[in-house]
Amino acid sequence: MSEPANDDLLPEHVGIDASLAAARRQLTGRLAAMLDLDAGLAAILGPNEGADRYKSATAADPEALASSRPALPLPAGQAAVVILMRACAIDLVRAIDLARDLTRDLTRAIDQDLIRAIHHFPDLTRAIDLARHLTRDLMRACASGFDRDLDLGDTLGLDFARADSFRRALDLHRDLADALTRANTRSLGRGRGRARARALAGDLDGQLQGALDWAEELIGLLHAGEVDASGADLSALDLADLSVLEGVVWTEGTTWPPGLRVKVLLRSHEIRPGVYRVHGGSERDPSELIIT
Amino acid sequence: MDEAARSLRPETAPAGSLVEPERFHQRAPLSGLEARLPFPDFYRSHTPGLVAFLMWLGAGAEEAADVAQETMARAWRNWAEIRHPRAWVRTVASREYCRHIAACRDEPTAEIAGHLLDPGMAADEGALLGHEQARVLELLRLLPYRQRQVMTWAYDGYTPVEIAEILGLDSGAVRASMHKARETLKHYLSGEGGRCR
Repeated sequence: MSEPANDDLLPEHVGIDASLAAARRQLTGRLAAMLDLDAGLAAILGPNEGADRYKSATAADPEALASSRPALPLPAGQAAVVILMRACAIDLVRAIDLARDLTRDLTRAIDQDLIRAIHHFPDLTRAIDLARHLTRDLMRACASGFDRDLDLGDTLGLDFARADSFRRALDLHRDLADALTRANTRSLGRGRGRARARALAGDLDGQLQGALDWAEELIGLLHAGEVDASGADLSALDLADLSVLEGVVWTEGTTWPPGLRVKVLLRSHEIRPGVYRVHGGSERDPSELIIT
Repeated sequence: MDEAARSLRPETAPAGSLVEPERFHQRAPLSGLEARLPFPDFYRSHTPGLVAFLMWLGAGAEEAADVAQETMARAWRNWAEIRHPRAWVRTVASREYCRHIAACRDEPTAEIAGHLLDPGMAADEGALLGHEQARVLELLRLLPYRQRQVMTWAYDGYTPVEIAEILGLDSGAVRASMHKARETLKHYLSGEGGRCR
């Protein structure tokens, strides 16, 4: 969820626009903390039949994904930066997801067992901290891709101003820590303390939802075009998840980290003599290849 | 099939949806991730947003949760064919909400598989949402339905052009509705001497 396109927003509407956007995020956050999503999902998937259908229904169609992409004219020198940012953005989505799960666990624990809520709070702190560091790494990587002729952020359409959700999430996180402590220590005001902690947890979840939307859109933008790594030196990349290479075009002159070239080749198709494109999904049968 | 044609190839549009299938097919996905999220992840990430979407349209908390659950169940049944699930569930849920409004007048609604929100909790919307959220919803419900509908989509991240495609309107009409809605809300808020939050 994000704010609407404001190209024709009148100056006198800026305030109401910001208020409505914030209200929507907070509403979503509160609902996320209060809805019983586990029960709802179980009611749809059923106790036993979910897993297999789920696998077959979500198999990626690499050709369809590739065909829907516009070409993104990035020079080969930028390829390593974009790949690094993709990996970072995927980790960021995971970190925010974890922070949201922990926030919801915390919300439930506030009502059931305050001591448990306080005990698990450091996990939430670590998850938010991780997300914040990954966002900083993303910004640094983006800045490193800037050169005289090309602003990488502008070219990719990245809007780092929306990472502001993290700053607000951190503020809420601090307030939540304070509210939990007060709820635990002030026996007379414990009911009010719990209510405040619960409301703050809902608002925090809303901020994290905003950050998650932004991070998912970021991944979409980073995957939106063909990344040209022809002849590029990618040997310094440390890649645990090869899906970040999806759509990358490379040549025999591209330098891969040790041991990675064959794995990438197995995930690639030759689109022109000596030029390959990495596709999504699984590897090809090695017998199809003649490895030079 | 060339690339341009393939990128517009049909997806499964909800039967009898508010959106004409041709329009639905031509909408570009807002996020490259959208088509790749597994259903359980999509459900967990998007159900709260879908309930909020319905509440902005005018549904009460319990009704919004029920319609969202019904819509998600339908999305799961068609998951392999849905290419833009975020827009799909919102379109189907809008239509279901309209059907619920009509059905409430004279016939019982269908049984929903699973309840997302405890009915007792949902009954007290003010307590559930907090004063400020309840006030924003109250103000939105004062808007004419078309303006509320356009604002609901807009604050879900859709641009006027996308909203126009989805709702079958002219993009100028969407912008005009958004302008009128903001003017009205500004008037209400200034009349009350306060802000939304």
